[in-house]
Amino acid sequence: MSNFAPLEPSPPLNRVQRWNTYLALITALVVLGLGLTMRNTALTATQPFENLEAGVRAQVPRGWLIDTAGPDFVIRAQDPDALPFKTLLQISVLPIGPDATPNKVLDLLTMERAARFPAYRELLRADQTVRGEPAKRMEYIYTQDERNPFQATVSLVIQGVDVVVLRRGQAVIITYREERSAFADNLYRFENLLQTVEIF
Amino acid sequence: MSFEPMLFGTEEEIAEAQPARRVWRTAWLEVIALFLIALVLYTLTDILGVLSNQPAATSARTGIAVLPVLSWLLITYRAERHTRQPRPHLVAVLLLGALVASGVAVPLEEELFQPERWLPGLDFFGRLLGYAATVGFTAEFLKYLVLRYSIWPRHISQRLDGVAYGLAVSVGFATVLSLRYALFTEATLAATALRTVSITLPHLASGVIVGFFLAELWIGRTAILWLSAGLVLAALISGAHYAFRAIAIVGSPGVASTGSSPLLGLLLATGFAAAIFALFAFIIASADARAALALSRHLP
Repeated sequence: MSNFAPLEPSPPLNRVQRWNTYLALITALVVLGLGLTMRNTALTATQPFENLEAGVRAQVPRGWLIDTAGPDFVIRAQDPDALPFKTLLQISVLPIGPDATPNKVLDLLTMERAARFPAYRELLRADQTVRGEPAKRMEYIYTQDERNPFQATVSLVIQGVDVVVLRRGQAVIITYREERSAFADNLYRFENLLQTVEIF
Repeated sequence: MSFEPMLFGTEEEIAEAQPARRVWRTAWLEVIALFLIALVLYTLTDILGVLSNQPAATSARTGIAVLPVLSWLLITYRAERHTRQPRPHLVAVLLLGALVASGVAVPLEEELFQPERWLPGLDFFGRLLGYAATVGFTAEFLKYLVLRYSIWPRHISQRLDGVAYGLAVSVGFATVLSLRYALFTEATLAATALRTVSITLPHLASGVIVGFFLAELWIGRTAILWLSAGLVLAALISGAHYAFRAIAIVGSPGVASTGSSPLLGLLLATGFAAAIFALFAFIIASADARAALALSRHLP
């Protein structure tokens, strides 16, 4: 007998069985919608950060490691679960002279980083606005080597972006760095930070 | 055919009354076989040091990952072929389970749900509900779709039929997930075996639930939300396993250990499967006994 013999027609379903089928589909939509809402809420959950001395207020991702004691930044937030590179968001304040422009600040950062980061290279520079204020955006790339010689790993390629906003003799630099393959996936965290940051 | 209690019936009488194969014995055998294989490999690698603790070859890892389907073929399918009325299309259902896992569940998990990005940061109940509402429900809904649009209701004549087909689709589904781990993770044989078992056994448990609820929908008198409740229950069971697993395998780090306890993960997966099997065996036996009693009262 052939394995591809035509199937017998299915027995007819009663009203309860038909409605069970319809409601299973509706349940699937509701539950998956709930699941995706939970996922988006968890991924975009933030906590407030405020530094009155530096005049910066922002929403940073909840559950990240927050460091406010660095000499060259106001806040540094890192994702403790990220591998192999801990995703970084940072806000720094740099004193500037009266003739400074966002481009000059980015030039300064480029010179300083070229000496510090292996294979540092600027990718693009563009204008943008941060909460209505003009700003300059720079994307760059560099490699990071494992410092422990007993952990033989290949170098990581790190992609970063800085946005510079000038304010009364200071440049506020908002930074995002991520391992290159995950850069685009987590860029929304940086965009969220840009949307919530208040410089006063 | 008599529906009197069959405790004192001969084997022939019991076989006459139950022409299709009972599923629990072979299902338990599969669980025990997988548990023992993982336990032996773990002991040989992590305790006795007989096997290398270096990553195994891809072919060896693949061999471990397909153990659930091999054990299903050798234990369940072989027993099925030797009964008077073997259940048809079991292999086709298993293959469909593998197909929907590979074509739908894995891409959804990797590209959309991405549980590793957000679930570890949640508390116990957050992980349970988050996993159940995304990865867990998707898996159970896909298994339901396979069963609903292949063998249901044409090949469902008793509650155990639903369980048998639910187990088959789950084996296919879990094998794809195990293969994904084996092919793309540099792991030892023992780690691959532990992961394979911890993937497969919870899927078998939730497959029993989906199969039972589908069979009952055809055989019994059910409420209008019966199927939805079954799917949500199966998803919650997989979510509970995920949440408990995070507690079980991440222990307290100490001077002599890294804090990881894979053996607890193995025991947890086995315990989940055993508890669900025992519970649904009892529920099905009770429902069958009630149905038989009701029928006997209506017979002259």
